[in-house]
Amino acid sequence: MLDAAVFAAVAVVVGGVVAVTARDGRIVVLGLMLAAVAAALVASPLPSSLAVTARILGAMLAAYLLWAAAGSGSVNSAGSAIGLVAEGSVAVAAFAVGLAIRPVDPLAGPVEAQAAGLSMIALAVVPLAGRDAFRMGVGVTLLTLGGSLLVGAWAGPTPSLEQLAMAALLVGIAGATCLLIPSAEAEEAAETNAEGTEAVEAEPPSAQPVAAANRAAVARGQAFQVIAKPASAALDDSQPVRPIEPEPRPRPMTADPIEPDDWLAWGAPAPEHVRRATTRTGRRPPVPPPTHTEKPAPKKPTRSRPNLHGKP
Amino acid sequence: MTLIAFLAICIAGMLLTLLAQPFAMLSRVVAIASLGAALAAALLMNPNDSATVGEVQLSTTWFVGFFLTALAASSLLLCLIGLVTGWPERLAPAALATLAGIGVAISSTDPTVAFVAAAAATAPAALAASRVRSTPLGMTVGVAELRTLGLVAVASLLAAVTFVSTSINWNSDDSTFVLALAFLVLAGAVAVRSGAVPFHVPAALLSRSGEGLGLVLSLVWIPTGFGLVALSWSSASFVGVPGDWLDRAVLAVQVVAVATLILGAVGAMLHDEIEEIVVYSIVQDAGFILLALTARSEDAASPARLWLLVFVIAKSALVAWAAAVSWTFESSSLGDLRGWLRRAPILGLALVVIVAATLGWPGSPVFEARDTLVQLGLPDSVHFLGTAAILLSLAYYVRLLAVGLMTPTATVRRAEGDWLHRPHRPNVADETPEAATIEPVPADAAAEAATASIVQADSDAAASTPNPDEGARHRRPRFSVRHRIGVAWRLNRPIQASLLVLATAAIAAVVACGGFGTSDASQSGITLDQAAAPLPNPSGIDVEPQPTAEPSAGPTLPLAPSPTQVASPAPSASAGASPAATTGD
Repeated sequence: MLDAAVFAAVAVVVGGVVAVTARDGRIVVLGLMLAAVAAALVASPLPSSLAVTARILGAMLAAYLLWAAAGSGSVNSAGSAIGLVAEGSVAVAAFAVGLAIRPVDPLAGPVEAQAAGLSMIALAVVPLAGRDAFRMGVGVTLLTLGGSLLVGAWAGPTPSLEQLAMAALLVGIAGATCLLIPSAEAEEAAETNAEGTEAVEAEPPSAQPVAAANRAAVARGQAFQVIAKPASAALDDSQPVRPIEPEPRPRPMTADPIEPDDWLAWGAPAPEHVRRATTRTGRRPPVPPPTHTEKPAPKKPTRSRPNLHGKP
Repeated sequence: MTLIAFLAICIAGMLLTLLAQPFAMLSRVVAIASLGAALAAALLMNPNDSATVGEVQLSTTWFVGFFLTALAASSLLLCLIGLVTGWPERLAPAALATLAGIGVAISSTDPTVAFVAAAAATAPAALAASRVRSTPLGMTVGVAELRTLGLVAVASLLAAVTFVSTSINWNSDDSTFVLALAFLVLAGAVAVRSGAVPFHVPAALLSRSGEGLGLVLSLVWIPTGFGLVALSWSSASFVGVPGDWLDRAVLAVQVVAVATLILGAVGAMLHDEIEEIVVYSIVQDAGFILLALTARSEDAASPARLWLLVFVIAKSALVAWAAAVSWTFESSSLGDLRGWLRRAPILGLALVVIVAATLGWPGSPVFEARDTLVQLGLPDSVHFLGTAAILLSLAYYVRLLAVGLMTPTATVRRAEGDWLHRPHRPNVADETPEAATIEPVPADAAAEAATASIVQADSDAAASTPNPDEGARHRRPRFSVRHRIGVAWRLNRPIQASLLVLATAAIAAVVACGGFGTSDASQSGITLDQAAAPLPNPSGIDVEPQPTAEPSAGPTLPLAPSPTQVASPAPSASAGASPAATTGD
């Protein structure tokens, strides 16, 4: 008969794969919560109910913090660069390796904990190598969960206070992640500056007026450009702060949601009313469907794909 | 019970301060009150106190109380300085969370609990780093901060596993490889967290963010607490263990320590922004923590603890000094700050005291501690680097002082400085209320112009009240005593900040001289030091947990002084941090 630790270990891996591969921030958070809750149960014998409760509450609080950051809609994960199948394969392979090896003989805890721990660490590698703060936080959380599982496997059952401390650590990581996710305006500004011709240099503390102007520009939703200055130069209010118009970002083919009037260009399935109309008339109707007016409908451009680069 | 009270105060204070954040005045009051209560709890901490939570015993020693007192006092003083120079709204809750985490870490008898708590105590650094999230720096600093947090968490868990190696049978031909790996990761975590060279870029970026007082949390308090637990691991697991892998790991950490000692000072000399100079100074002195890790000798434990105490308070004072100078002269560029010492002599005195506390002098405890760490942590052939580090440190401190003695720039002349200012009551005509000026001592037109607006507002307020003498040609505006005290208080903000910085520096100097019983306290380690050796299974629980887990079933630890402590003289009764130490309570 399978032990409960096996199911918990599988749940940990599934949660980790979901957290690493999902693009919607809220699904990422749900995956993390599943992994964190299940990780507390990969033990034999199970910890005391108080310890398990502390871990579950800590996992839920950590998930809530990340949910609060992701729930605004501005935070989404970039998702996995190698895809769900590849990430799942990596996780399963690491799990199998964890079941096979014995770095500590005999193991003081269940071997499933070691397998799930190695799987979590393997899943955390790619997010930790990136520069997305949200995915970085996911990676750090998975890494910590993996480490705690390995400790449980190698050192045996953990005391209640350690479970409490681990819950505090997970909450701390989640809190740090949601605090350090840069705002959308800052990301846009950073990308714009990176695309610019002038080098972006952080302002020295003496450049407070410039920094204040930049902050005000960010608050207005305006991208800005920090003028590179030598550190010794005194800056005053007259220093130029050159607001620049950000170029529209080219959309990737798959990551961004499709806007309502882009379905023709991006190959998405057409809405129901459009499909019905197309079937009846044999032609693609304009979107939105034209209303019966005196004037003829304006002629649609032949290229419905937006001109992203401003070329004539 | 005193330890539990301390932890409860810290956690409750942190939550209350965070909840009160939307209300500016309330949050400041709550933060100051919480830090004051935490300081009082740390001062009253019984050195032989213990409490059992679950199966783990939390116990205090004299050094534990002393260290927590130093952290709490530094936090409180910096927040008080922040009231003058600009309130660091996230520093107080982050400091309280760090205090709670470090309190659990250094009082726990279970190594896993100690390391996990120490790792959790590093998370509040994100509160300080998050201040720059809306700037182009935000992404870089945030990613670096999260990576550091991940490294610290992994290093802590690995160190915890290897700490209990007496109960783990590693399936390896050379088990010292695991130990060397754990040492390397742990020392790497300490190095990255403290910004050691070559991991100094995030710290340097943070210094350019205008973070001010918040720098001390990320670069001083958190690395010190984590380093203290790491030192305990080192002395318990690492001392006297031979092995080629260990030698290579130690060599790698020695290279990083030497680079930090030299290049940190060079960085401080090359930069012109005060915040950057302060950050590189902190980075340089954090190299001594790495030296203590590489010492592989029990003799390094006591000087390392003394150095950590001095490091906490002296570097807090240095950060406060930088914040006070930047606020007083409204610039932090050395190019603008020529002549600052002439206008702010109290800050100049504070800097001299900070230098003395940090470097010491031959024969002083802090000097001997630094020298001992260099002698034990480095090979004989490079012992001269200790002297070189001192000389390089002196160089950038002297540069700061020399710039302060030069002819003042317009920026410095325009500032009020930290001289005493008194509100005057000159004869004021009704038609010319502008004549109600303040004559600073020494009288200076720039300071007069700067302070006139304050009195202008006060005279307007006084004029708005019904006045029976209204219409008289010449009269003296009626300032109540309370009003005059308020004006004087606002006029002398710079001197308040300067005196607080000087007080912090003075405490650092006293600690560096071995005062308050510091030398004796540093002889006793943290609880983990004493829990390590005698227990066959330091985790405190069996592999098969017993159904009855009474408090008495927990590990009974010999909390009596260690052999080195017995050899040392008895703690003096002047130790303010632990008055009960001499009573054997």
